[in-house]
Amino acid sequence: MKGWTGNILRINLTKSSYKKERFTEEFARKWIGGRGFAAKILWDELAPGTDALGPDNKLLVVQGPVSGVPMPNSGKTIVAAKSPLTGTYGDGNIGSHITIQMRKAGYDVLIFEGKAPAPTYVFIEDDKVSFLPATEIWGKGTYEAQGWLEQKYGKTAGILSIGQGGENLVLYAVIRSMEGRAGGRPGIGAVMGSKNLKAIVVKGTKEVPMADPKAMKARGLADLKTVGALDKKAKWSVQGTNAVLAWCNEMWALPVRNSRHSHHPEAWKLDGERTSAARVATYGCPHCTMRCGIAILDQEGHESEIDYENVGMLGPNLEIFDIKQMASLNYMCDDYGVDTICAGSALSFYADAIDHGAARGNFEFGDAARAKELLRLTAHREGIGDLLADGSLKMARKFGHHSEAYAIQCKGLDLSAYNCKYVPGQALAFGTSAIGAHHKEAWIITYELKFSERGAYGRDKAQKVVDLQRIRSSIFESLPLCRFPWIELGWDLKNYPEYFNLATGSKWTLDDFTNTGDRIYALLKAFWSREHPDTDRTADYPPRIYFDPAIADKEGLIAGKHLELDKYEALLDHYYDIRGWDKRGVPTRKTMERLGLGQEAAQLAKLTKVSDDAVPMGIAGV
Amino acid sequence: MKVRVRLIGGFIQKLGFSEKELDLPPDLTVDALVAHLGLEGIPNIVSRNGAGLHGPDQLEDGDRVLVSAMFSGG
Repeated sequence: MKGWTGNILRINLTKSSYKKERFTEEFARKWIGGRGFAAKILWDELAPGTDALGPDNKLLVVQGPVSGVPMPNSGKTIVAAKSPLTGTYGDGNIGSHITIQMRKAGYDVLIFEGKAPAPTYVFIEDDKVSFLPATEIWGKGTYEAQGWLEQKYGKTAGILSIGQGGENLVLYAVIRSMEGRAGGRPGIGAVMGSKNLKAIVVKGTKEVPMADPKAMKARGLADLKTVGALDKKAKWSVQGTNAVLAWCNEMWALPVRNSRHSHHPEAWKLDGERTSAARVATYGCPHCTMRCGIAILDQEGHESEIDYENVGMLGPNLEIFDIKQMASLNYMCDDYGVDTICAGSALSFYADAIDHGAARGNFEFGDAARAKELLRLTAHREGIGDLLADGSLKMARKFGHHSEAYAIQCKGLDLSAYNCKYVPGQALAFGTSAIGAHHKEAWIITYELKFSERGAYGRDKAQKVVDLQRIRSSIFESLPLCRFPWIELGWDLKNYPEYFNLATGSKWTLDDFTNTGDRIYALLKAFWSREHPDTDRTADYPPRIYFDPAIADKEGLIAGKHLELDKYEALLDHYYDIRGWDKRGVPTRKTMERLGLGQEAAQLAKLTKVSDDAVPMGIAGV
Repeated sequence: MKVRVRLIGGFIQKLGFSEKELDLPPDLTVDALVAHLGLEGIPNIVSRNGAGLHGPDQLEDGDRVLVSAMFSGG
């Protein structure tokens, strides 16, 4: 086997034991790596209904066949588990030295099982695994934990850690690396915390087996230069992703005041020009020439590494326009190891619920000092923080008073910083994302505006969402990689199969990837359906408030506009039709069999209704 | 004709302004504007009044257009 190491390291935290296992080349070619591996392993090894925060859940750290190879933006790792936030498969894509070190240590997959009897960190050095007390870093933030581990193991050691958020089981706790990187929005950090696992450290010394190592190296070094030159020409990394804020504000697609508004005249105070001007340092992932981690100083003088999602959700979404205060909230989320998007959404939902009489409390939009206090309470699950730590959907179900309509989430995972009240395709992308609302799954909004009409609900938009989900799941989540060179700089998508071929000795084309992407996505939706057997198409709806004429902006570019439910339903039917799923949004038996998932279809059928074939569309007027 | 151009992203640092009125030849197309700005070959999205424009679309006197880098999220 070339490209893959072929090795899984299975670590039992309860028993402090470990064993090395092999996977077959057939498995590797069917699932590629990263998300594909994780989804299949978790499907096979977790019993339906497994408690996401119990010892029976499994935490996976997964690489792919080009992971760690010097090529553009290959320093990414997948962390995955059953999510405590959504109750289905969840994952995250995180830049880390662990990508390189895990492969050099000879592993594509780490599986953590059970629960350590006391706070522990695991050190993996090639074939040796040590279970070490985490006494000195338990209860500490991720910056201190990372620094302490770097002092012991060196700056290039592969380190993943959690903060107080993960330790205290905040349902949207993330895993952190290299101080500025985070992954696992659906609470993968909480799963790590539930296992008493504070950190994972990996160091390796071996060669990664490649089919054509010479060509791989030469091509990789040349393309790193090419992508670097494209970035220099476009000046993309001058603002990085922070540029998105000005665009969303201009296009009236910015989440303001828990998405009740889509534009704010003060948003410019946080835009890419301002954050770029305030920059004190720049950080990036391994093997990246598009370093997007722009650090600015926060109110307390910390370096706070920001990107658009952080700024959007902790700034305009909370009506906080003081750049240093926004940076403080971001720093706190990073240090506590909680997702900035979900944290911003939980806070804005809380303020909104108080505003609308669904909850009593002391928090108003624009109150940065109270927001900081609430974040501290959240990370430690103290007082009202215990509720905020459960995320907006669970809060809404507790508050009642129809507040679930303005919990800005899909399947329990909060929306990234794009207000879709009048962006139907992006709303569909969030709605159908099988891990819950996540911009990484299908970011269609620029396509909608460049190649289509904003208010249209045509089949082309459903097709585009499917296409992006296919590419995302197969190439960027399973090789795994960062997507920026492709979209932001126009680096040809065909480069990626070529690297896969050099690594594995295959002759794959983009079609092979998209077919695999369909298989992975069908399994992800089957996973959701297995864990939520009463599921129906409403699971693929965007937040209900988007359909409410009452929240349409009163003035400006999209005055009076909002999503229309009957048209969204038709768009969803297009999506299911293209996917070969039934009208409940469950993959049909025939579709699953076509994708090589016959066994999984039979397993699913024991738990929920699986249609034999796709139901013909039959949508009036389409 | 006079067209106000609002740049987004690194284009601001590349061209040295964030928004200004440009004096342009009449009936200029979007493609020609992109070329005029020296942004050919860089993924971009051009819009007017919130609607995306295509390369052959013509600009009109008094337009305000947004010229943004292409994004795939934050």
